Amino acid sequence: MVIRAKHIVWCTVVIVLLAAGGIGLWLYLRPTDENLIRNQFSRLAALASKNTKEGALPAAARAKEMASLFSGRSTFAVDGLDWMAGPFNHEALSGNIFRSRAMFDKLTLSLDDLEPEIDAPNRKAKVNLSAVLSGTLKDGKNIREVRELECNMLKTDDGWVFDSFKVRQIIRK
Amino acid sequence: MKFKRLYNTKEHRQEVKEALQTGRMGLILRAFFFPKMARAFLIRVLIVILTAWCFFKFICMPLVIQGESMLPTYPSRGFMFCWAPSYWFRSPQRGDIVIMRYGRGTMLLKRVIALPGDTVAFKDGRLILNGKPSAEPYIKGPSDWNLPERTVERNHYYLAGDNRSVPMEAHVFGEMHKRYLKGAPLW
Repeated sequence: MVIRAKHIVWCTVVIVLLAAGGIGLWLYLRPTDENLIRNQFSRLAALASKNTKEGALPAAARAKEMASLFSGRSTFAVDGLDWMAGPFNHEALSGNIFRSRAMFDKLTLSLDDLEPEIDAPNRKAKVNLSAVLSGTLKDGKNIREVRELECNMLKTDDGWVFDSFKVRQIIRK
Repeated sequence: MKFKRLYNTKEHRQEVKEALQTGRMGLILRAFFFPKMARAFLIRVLIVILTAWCFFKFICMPLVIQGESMLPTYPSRGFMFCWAPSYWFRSPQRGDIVIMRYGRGTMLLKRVIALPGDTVAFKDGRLILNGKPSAEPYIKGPSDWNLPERTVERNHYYLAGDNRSVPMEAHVFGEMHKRYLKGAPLW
């Protein structure tokens, strides 16, 4: 095979594109605080969602895993639901999550528009985001609720955990 | 017409040449709509697909309107595009129609009736902006909305639809953070 100039040009272009892609992937995937925080929210959304009938034991295990994403004294401020304020330890939170998920046949939690503000010296972060909870209740009723969340997070030795959530309407009269 | 760059094989050039020489519409259409899978053609198709995907995903998003909150300005089941660059270099002003992200897969089409720091109230269907009744020529039907005065928070826009004939409780309106701003309708 005779190597011509155009072969060298094509090879150079491919190598440059692969290098650019590799560098971009490394920048995107490297474990910065922001990426770790985003991963926590992705984990929360994935654990909260359910597509099929779930047995009691898998549901309990999932609730326990979800509760482990929170600090040991989590608080919740939800408009009109003062009884949800907390603080909750992992066991209480796990129980609440189990009971809440049990009300649904299908459940999808989408967390988007994340805007983390990281206070690295104090190992804290505040994240504003939007959440869509959609699903089908046991009685067949479909729901779709959109809310704006303000979340405070703490950095522990095991990573970032959720400490408090403020839930409010995304559009408020 | 030069076809040298369009096809890079002898068969393609021959096909196009034969089509043009004979003038047979069938051959011309076949050469145009069903070209041979040459490398250049595949690269062009890939570039067009990628460009179109980027354009319609981030710049000019197609939307279908569901709901009657913007009647008579925009009908339900109407089609439009959300033009994202509208607010890349400027902020919305009072009276602008904006498109706001409302959770995944849903947008809100509303009009900006107040800016950050403004006071907003409704009295017998009339908008009271900063203590004074505000003219709204785009409102056509009657309205009986009553809402006590409130101040629009920093970095928020106060949005409402043009169809004020529905009960206030059934209409999605209020202040929304500017981070959800996606763009403006293209028409």
